[in-house]
Amino acid sequence: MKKILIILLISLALLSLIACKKPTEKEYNVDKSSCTSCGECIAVCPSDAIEYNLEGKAVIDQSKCTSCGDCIAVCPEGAIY
Amino acid sequence: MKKNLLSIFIIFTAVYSSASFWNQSRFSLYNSHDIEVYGFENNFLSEFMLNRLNIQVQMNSLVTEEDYDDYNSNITNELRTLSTYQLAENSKFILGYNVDYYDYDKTQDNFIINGIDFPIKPLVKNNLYLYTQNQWQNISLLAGLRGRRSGIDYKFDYQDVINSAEAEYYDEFYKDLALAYNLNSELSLYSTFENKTFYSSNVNFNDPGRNHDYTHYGVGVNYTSKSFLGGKISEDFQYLNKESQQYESYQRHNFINNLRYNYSFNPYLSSYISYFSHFSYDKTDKEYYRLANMLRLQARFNIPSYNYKAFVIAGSRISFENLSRIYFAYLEYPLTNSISLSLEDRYSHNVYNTIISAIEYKLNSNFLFYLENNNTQSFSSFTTFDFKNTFTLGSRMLFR
Repeated sequence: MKKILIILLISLALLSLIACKKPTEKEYNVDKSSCTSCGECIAVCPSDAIEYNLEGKAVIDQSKCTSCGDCIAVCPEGAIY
Repeated sequence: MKKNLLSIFIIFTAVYSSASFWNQSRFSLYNSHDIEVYGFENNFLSEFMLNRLNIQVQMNSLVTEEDYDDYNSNITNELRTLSTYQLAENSKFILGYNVDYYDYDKTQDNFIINGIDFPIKPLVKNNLYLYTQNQWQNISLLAGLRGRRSGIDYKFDYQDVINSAEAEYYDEFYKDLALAYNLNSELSLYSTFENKTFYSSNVNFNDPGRNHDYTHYGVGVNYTSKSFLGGKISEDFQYLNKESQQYESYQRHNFINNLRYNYSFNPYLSSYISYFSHFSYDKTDKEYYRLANMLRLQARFNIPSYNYKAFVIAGSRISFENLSRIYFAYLEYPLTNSISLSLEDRYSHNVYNTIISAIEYKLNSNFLFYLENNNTQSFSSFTTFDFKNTFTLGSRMLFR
C-alpha cells in the first residue's frame, strides 16, 4: 500500500515535468533545507521581497518578487530554484 | 569605536554572568580585480544565552579603499539583533524581537522622482513576533503572529518638492498556523495557513494602489520510511491555495512535491537524491503550469583517518526551469586533534566559481582560530565584480 502511494506520487511529480506548460514569467523559490540563512539574497533583492520566516530561513514573497534573478546570482548554496 | 566598546561590553557581561556565550569575529582583506578595489571586512557575531533568554548580536562592515564609481566602492554597515524568550518548556512559547539596520553608502537600484533619490530598500526593519509550538500525542501545532515595520530614509536633493512624511515606512503583519496529525510513525497529514496584511505609507510611487496582502491555505501529506528499497525515503506532497491581488491566475492553485531518497552503500559511502517539483493549475486558461523544480544529488565518502572524522562531500543542485546549475565538492581533513584542513569548490554555471581553503587550529575546547581564503570568479552581469578574493583571520570563542 505504502509503495503504491510512493510510486503514485513519484509518477505525479514526473508527469508534472512532462505534461505541464511553462509560464511566461519565472517564479523563484527557496529550498529551505539548503538555505544557510546567510542573508545575501535579502541584501541584493531590489524589491525587498525576501525575508526570514519563523524557522530563520529565507522565503520569497511572490507578491513583491519581480523575477529579476539577482538572488540566484548571489546565493552561495544554490538554494534558490 | 562605539562598536568595539559594545563588543567588549557584551563579552564581559557574558563571561561574568556565567552564561553560555559564543562569539565569532573575522577580519578580511577584500580584493576585487579589474576594478582594483581593496577594502576591509569585519564580521562580529555573538550569542548570549542565559536560562530562557537568548540574545544574538551581529555586526558586519565593509569599507573599500577608494570611491571609483557607484557600483564598485561602498561603505556598508549592518547591525542585526535578535532576542527571544522561551516562556514554557513542553509547550514552547517564543517572544522575539529583532532589528535589522543597514547603513548603505550607496543603496542599490534607487529611482529618482523630481530630483529626489528614493532608495527602494528599507534601511531599518523592526520585527516583533510571538509564536507557540505544541505537541499533544499525535497532534502538533505551530501558531504565530509576526509584525514588521520597514523604514526608509530618503535623500532629498530639493527639499520643497515632496512631503517626506507621506512616504516613510511600510508595515507587514503576518498570521501563521500549521497543524499536523501523525497517523502512524511513517505517515502524517498537515494543513497550513498564512496571511499577510500590508500597509504602505505611500511608498510605492510607481503604483500607489499596489496591495501586497495575501492569504495562503495548504494541505499536505508526508511519508517517511527508513526501509524502502534498502534505503530511506521521504515524500511530501502539498496543495497550496494562494490568494492575492498581485498573483497571476496561474499562481493560485499550487502543487508542491518534495521527494528524497537516501542510500548507504557501505559504512564509508552514502548518498541521496532529492527532487522538488512545483506546478500549478490555471483555472482561467484550464492549463497546468510547471513553475519551478530542482534536482539535488549528493554523495558523502568518509575517508579512513586516525579519528574517522575526515570526509568528502560532492554533489549538484540543478534547477531545470530557471536554468541554474551548481556543482560543489567539500573536503574536511583533520590532521591532528588540534589542526584541521578544509577545501571547497562551488561552481555555478555561467554565474560564479568559488574556491574556499581554510586551516583551523583549536587551542582548547573554548577557543579556536582559523585562516581562510575565499576566491570567487564571477561570470555574471548580476554581480558587481569580476574577481574577488577575501583573506580572513578569524576566531571563535565558546564559554559555557
